[in-house]
Amino acid sequence: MSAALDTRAAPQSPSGGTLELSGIHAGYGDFQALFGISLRVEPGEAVGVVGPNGAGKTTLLRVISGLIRPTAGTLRFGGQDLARTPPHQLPALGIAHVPENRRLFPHLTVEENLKVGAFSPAARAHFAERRDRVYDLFPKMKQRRHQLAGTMSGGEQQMCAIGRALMCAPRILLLDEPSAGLAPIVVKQVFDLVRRIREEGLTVLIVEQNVAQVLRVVDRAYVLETGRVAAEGRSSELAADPAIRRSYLGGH
Amino acid sequence: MKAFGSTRRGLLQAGAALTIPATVARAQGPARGGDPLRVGVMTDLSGPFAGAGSQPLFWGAEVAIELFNERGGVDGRPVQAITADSQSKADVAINEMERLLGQERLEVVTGIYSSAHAVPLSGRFEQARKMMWITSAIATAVLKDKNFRYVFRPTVHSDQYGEGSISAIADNAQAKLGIAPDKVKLGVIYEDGPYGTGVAAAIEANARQRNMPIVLKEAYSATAPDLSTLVTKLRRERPDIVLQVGYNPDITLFLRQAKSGGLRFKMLIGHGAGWSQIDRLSETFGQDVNYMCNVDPAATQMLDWSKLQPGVGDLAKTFMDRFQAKHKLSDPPTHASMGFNNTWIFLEHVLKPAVRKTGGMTADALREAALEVDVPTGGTIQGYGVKFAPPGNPMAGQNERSIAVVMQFENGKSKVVWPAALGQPVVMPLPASNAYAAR
Amino acid sequence: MDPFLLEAIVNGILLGGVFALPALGLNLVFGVVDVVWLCYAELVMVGMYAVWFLYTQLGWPLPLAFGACLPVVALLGVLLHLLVVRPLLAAPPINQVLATGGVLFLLQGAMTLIFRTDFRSLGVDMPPMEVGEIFVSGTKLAAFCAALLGAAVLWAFLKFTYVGTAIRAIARDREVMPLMGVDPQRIYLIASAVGGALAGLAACLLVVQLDVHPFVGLSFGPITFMICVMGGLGNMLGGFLAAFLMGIIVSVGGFWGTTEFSYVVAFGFFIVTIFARPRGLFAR
Ligand SMILES: Nc1ncnc2c1ncn2[C@@H]1O[C@H](COP(=O)(O)OP(=O)(O)OP(=O)(O)O)[C@@H](O)[C@H]1O
Ligand SMILES: [Mg+2]
Repeated sequence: MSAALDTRAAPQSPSGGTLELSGIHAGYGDFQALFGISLRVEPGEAVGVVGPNGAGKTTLLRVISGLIRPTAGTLRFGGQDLARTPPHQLPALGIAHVPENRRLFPHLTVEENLKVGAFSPAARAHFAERRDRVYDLFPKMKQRRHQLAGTMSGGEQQMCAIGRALMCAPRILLLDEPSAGLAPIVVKQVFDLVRRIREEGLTVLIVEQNVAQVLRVVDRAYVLETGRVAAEGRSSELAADPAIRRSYLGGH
Repeated sequence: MKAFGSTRRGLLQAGAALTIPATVARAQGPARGGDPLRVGVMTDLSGPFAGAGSQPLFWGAEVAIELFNERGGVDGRPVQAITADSQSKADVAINEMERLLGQERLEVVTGIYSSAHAVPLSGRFEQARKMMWITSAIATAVLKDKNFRYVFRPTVHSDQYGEGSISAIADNAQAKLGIAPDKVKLGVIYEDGPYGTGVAAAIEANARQRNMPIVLKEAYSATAPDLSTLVTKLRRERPDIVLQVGYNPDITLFLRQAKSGGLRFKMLIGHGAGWSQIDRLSETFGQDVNYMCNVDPAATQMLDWSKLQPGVGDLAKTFMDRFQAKHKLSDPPTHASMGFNNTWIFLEHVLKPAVRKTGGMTADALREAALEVDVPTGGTIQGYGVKFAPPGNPMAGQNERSIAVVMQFENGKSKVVWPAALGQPVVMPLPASNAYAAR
Repeated sequence: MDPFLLEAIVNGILLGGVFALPALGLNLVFGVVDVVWLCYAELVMVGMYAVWFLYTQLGWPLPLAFGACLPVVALLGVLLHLLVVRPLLAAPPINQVLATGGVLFLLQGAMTLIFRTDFRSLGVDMPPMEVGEIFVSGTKLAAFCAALLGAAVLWAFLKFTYVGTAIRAIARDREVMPLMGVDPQRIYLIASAVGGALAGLAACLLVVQLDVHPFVGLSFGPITFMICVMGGLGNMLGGFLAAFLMGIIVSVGGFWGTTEFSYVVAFGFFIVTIFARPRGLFAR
């Protein structure tokens, strides 16, 4: 099954796919949402980003996948500067982004959603084999392959969205609140899945509101507040930090 | 909002720039001494009407003005045509009229191809007290009971079209079809504008007078993409004779769909407009339109020029020579004669006396001159005379001496078949070789 | 059944086939690019001129003229996108509508300048077919079959190819497309080309039924828009079905009432649809 995740097209670069952000400023028009964010994700690492609503977590992921251009700062992946790379070329470089609210194509079938995920020419050649591996990972998706994605449950849709992102054989997977809106039992399944994915060796950057759960699957985490990094550290350290506990973990 | 406004204006200007260059073309003869006499000419040089007769209408007027100027204009004062293209759109016609009367300060505008334009325009001319000289638009309703004082129409009106076709059928039914006139079943189809509606009403009134049964009378839009249901219904009602009043695309669409829809009849009679364009119809349908008929004022070449008033035949010949040389049409459509003749009537019989009498050309002077015109039958190149119905008459402004004839297409030429005195015997029913001939 | 009524229904279905292609093309472009090509019927008109010109003036065989018409109009669609639509993608919809409306006048004007307002006809006709008491125009039947074939090819393209699947996807969510490795601009361009090609195919089918003149778009343009709105703008299946519905309404309405009345019925139906089902008759 590990093959599911490393049939990537892009060759390993010298720095092995490190994601590095430094001094990133970004926003929407006149509105600035990020103020000098620096962040680093090493290959094979799982890193969390937590913070209150409106902190800029989604904006941060959108900057990484090129949907928003930073107004200042540098963004590198595997040593390559991404400042000028158009966003649609990033999946081929190994960056996959599962957006907030999943954004499946509800009127397409599960398999068609996977097909769109394999749009880039490099991915098309491997469509059948990657699809089968996604089905191995999510047997339920195989059962529902011809069902319209919009008719599935929230948890199933999240699986499908992750499966769709895996179709480009990424080196790093960006997940934006994969547990949002899901029943507790399904949330657990999603985090189990994230754990399995990272055990496969895939680098993961995960944004979550569900701080307690996410700190159990990631190695390190950043705390974002109003567009700035308020804290960062190993997940065990953060989980033990009294301020963090008070703000995000129910204060126990 | 500002950006939006300028963008829109820019776009519309860009679009309009391509559609209106014809309006700047000015027909102008060799200038002589004296101020030019400025006369508006408004026709449709683009849009569907252009191809249904308005273009030759303009060309005919152009030849009339050139010739009039070459012959010295009015005592050396040339006529200058200020042209406008109403683009087959009533709103454009109204805007252009405002321009001609407002900006150009004209006292008279000639032309006006379509009754759909003439109806809204006539009221405005009357209100502005400027002369409207209609050379084509035929709907009776344009003048009927309006008691206009500034609107004149030297050409025929639609009631006369109905009279022409129904009389021609009645005169020939027994002899040619072996059917008593009150047993000839008629199918009447017409475009739903004022022109079609007006002519169809006249057909119906004339048919009723003679007790002829109308088995189907139905209107359609001239831009309809499909007329096959109409064909189906005609086939169900089995008329002996189909009478159509239409422009151009609808006529070809009808003929095509009638052929494939299995519609057959003993005769088809058109009523001007698109049916006047025999060159076009022959080009599209070849032998299929052979022996079909049309009602219209006569094109000058259909008449025996020797029977016209002295000098008129020469004028007709001059017109024909010039028109054919300029536009290379073997059989110029009726609208060419209409454009020339009705413009000529204005120049020679209205403008000239008015200018001579008053030294100027105010609408009021022109109007008074028009009411005094008295040209006997045979005095114009289309055979009719000119005498306008005076104010107070239900048809005030209409030429009471105009006539519409019935003509039959025979191998690309039109021959007058009614009134019998002017023409030759009609070929009826359609010969068996015709694709539409009833079996 | 009354054979004449049956003939009216058959004619309605055949007429629906004529409307179906432009409805598909317009909906495709709108669904993907989110811009209404107000000048769609005029693209068809240019295609009709192309066929007429190649066939009657240059003497090309008719199938070859048809074959050339598709890429010509597809190219026109691409140019329309690159020169007019793309610069206005971020502009308010009203500006886009005015721009494509400007192109409408531009194309009418350009064709008037080049070909004048004369009505041009191919002069080809296929023999009618007589089935029992019903007459069916051979030309219309052939056009209908070609329309269905075109629709089927389009369906297969959208269903089975990567680009086709991306086209269906982008119609729902354009923002997320780059995350799939899809360049939306490229999809817009492809959709514009396909939309143009459909206009080209529609031109081939119409030029054997209607005379070409610069304003021929008036005959089927407005009704195509009505069909698209009735079927749900951007909803291709909806537009396709609405085309047949409209064809039958027009034809049968004209049979029971009058030809004019049938358009009143069609218009009435259209207005009721707008109020009762603003997202289209077939919206889920
Ligand atoms: N499209 C947009 N246009 C303008 N401002 C935006 C836009 N999207 C987000 N913002 C603003 O940017 C800031 C950061 O938003 P962002 O969505 O990145 O926060 P978040 O941390 O993901 O919040 P949440 O936990 O609610 O998802 C917020 O103040 C938000 O209002
Ligand atoms: Mg967010």
